[in-house]
Amino acid sequence: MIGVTGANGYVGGRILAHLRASGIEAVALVRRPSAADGPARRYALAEPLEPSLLDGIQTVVHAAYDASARGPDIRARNVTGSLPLLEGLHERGGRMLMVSSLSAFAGARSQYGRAKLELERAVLGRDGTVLRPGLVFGVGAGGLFGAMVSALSRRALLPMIGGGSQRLFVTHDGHLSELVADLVRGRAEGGGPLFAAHEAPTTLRSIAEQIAGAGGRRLVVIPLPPALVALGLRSAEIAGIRLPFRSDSLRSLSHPIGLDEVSSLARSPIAFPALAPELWLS
Amino acid sequence: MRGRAQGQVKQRARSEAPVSDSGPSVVIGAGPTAAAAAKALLGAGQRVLVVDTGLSLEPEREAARQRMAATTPENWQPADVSLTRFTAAGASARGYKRLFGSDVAFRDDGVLELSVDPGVGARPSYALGGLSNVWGSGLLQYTDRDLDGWPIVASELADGYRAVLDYVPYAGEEDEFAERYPLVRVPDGPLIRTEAGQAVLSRLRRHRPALAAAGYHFGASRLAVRVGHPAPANGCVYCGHCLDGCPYGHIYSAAQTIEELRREGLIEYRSGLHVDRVSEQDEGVLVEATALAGGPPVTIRSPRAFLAAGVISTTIILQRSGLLPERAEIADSQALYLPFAWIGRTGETGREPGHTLAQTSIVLDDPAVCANPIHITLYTYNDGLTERAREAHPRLSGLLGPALDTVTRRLAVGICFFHSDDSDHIATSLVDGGESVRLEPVLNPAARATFRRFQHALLRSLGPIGLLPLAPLAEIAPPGGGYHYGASIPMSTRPGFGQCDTLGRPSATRRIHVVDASCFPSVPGGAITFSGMANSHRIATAVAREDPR
Repeated sequence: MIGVTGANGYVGGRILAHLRASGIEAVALVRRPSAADGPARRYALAEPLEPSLLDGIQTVVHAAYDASARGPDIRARNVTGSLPLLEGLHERGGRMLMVSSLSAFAGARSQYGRAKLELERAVLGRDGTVLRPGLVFGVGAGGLFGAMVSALSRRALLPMIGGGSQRLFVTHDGHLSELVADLVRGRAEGGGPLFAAHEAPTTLRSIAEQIAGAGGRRLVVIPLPPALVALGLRSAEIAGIRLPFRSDSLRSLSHPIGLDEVSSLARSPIAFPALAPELWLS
Repeated sequence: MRGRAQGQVKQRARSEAPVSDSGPSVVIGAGPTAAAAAKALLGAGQRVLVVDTGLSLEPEREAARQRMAATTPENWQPADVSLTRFTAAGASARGYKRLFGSDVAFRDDGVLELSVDPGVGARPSYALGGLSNVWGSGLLQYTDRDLDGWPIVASELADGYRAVLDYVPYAGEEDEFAERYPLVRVPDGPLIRTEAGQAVLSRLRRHRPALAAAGYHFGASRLAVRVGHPAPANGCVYCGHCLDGCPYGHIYSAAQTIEELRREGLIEYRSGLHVDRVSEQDEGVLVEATALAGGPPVTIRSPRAFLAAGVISTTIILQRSGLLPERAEIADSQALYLPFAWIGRTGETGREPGHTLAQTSIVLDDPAVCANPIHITLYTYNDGLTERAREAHPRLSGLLGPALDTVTRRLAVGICFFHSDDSDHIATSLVDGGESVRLEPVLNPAARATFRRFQHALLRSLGPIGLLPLAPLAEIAPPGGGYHYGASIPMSTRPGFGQCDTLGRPSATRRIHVVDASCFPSVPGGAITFSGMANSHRIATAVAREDPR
């Protein structure tokens, strides 16, 4: 049986649904299990592990990440907070398949990227597998892509940091789920970190142009100076104002992974497609 | 000469490679991407040796150019003007762009036996400055739309564009084009357009909303031309000689940068060498070359080599080095020469103040017409146009007599560049184990339909505003005929054989960097040289940062 953390989130939810649709027995490991989740057990980051949590589970797909944590809590909740699960699984001879991020790399400036990298090392040290997706998209997507689709459905006017020119890679949620299914079935070689995105990068602006274009609109971008946005976000965070976009995310966006490191990452047998309207329009 | 060169290739295969140099990074070639690499390496404090074939203008033409440069156009001697016009007698490369009447930009260096199919328009350039001796000098950058499928995004070329414009002049103006192509820096100033050029741009602006809705973007040309006062000392004097070469050197050529760096002692420059192959040995690179003057093969050792010999030469060097297969493919951004009838204001017969390079750039980005943007550089009436029409259609010209000028005044010519996905390509094949090379066309069956759709789209959109495409007179250049080609060893994040990484390194090499357009993953429509230079700067800067010496 496969456990999936973060199954109430966008990526974890898609993976869980795909595993089940593929005939793989999978259980949601979530903070508040409900009947709607199907088979589910209670699990929360940074909490002691219930002794029975991992009964019958050989692999945990770890997609949980607490994005609400700030400052030192980021590491405490997401890295240290994941270790009991990792250790518990390892002691039982099980393995973790961690859904990391292309924001994780040596020299990453964001706390998010650094936390993911630290946990990656722990997972790989316990014979686990690490996947590094880029910006995840798909039909009814959540996360940043979902937010962009939602914003551009109202108007084709979008403020973008630095005009949206930063390099990023995209990952189709269906292909990511398929890769996870192949890995848990042993059809693909684990380990990693595995590059789990389309090979050719794009930019937020190009993504926004495609979303707007698919809706028959011409995108109008309002470029925002990155330094000014960083200052505004930091000020809001210091003042305790919670915004949907964090200064840490800005650091991730502005200082992406180097192309040399992208080249050095292992590849999976799955070829990830480029962003195309048919992959996100229902 | 050719026989000797072949003999040398065989001899080199047997010889122990003597070491003739070590220390500086070697830049192979002296065209725009070589100049950009050399500048970037020097900027990072590295030593540079430029190795080049280095053909130059015939002495009599250079002397005429110098006499012209020393005075103002009204004082030019008719004999000098006649010698340096494209119609000048004695130039053998009929059909190829000439520099001061000379075929120097496309002249054979006598070393490599190259067999070019008549269906291919490309030729290597062995001239100091390479193809930048005869380029259109356009300075539009690539956008993310253009770089679809590349392993880098446009913002990663931004530093390169800025660095290049530190030494390349930037004539242009802030206009509606900046929405799609933001100005890289404050332009040096606008160039004076021809009367027809100004009238066309004004007409386009009047109809902008409708044109924008149909996918058109346009603006004044941005050109690598010096503007400044007093002219001609500091800038364009509007002599109308642009298409033959600027006697004053106000149109940028990479030869200027290489000459300047050499004069100032910042680089070592070795000309008269035709590079045959490169290989990695020990902790460095071995460059093997044939001396044009004869003598034994020349070998140069260097910690790193930057291949910027121009796409055809670079591709052949890579093939002969075993870094590309014996049959490789060069992607072309094909050119369509499309005359327009201009129904509007135009200049008076004779010289009028105005440059004679492209007046306006128009980009059509409509997926219903073509999956990729198509770039049109629009040349309006100039004296040279009449001369060229006379040369190209002698019978018609004879028939029209003096009326020919009246007709050509109403003409504009659009050079329309298509993305390489929508174009024919060029195959380069080694013959006899690399002793000679054959260039052949590789036809793209979808291209003709795209060209037709494009011309229909222009007729629908530009016809009603008085810029009527004359489709029956359109001429599709053979692949390579527009000089915008590359992508023989495309960059990839996962390079296999026949590809290179994002620092231009062919797979399995660490110290050889392809920095000219050969490493482009595709060739978007539009200006290629500026982006080639920016990418070369990007690679050289990143390499120097990783490997400070």
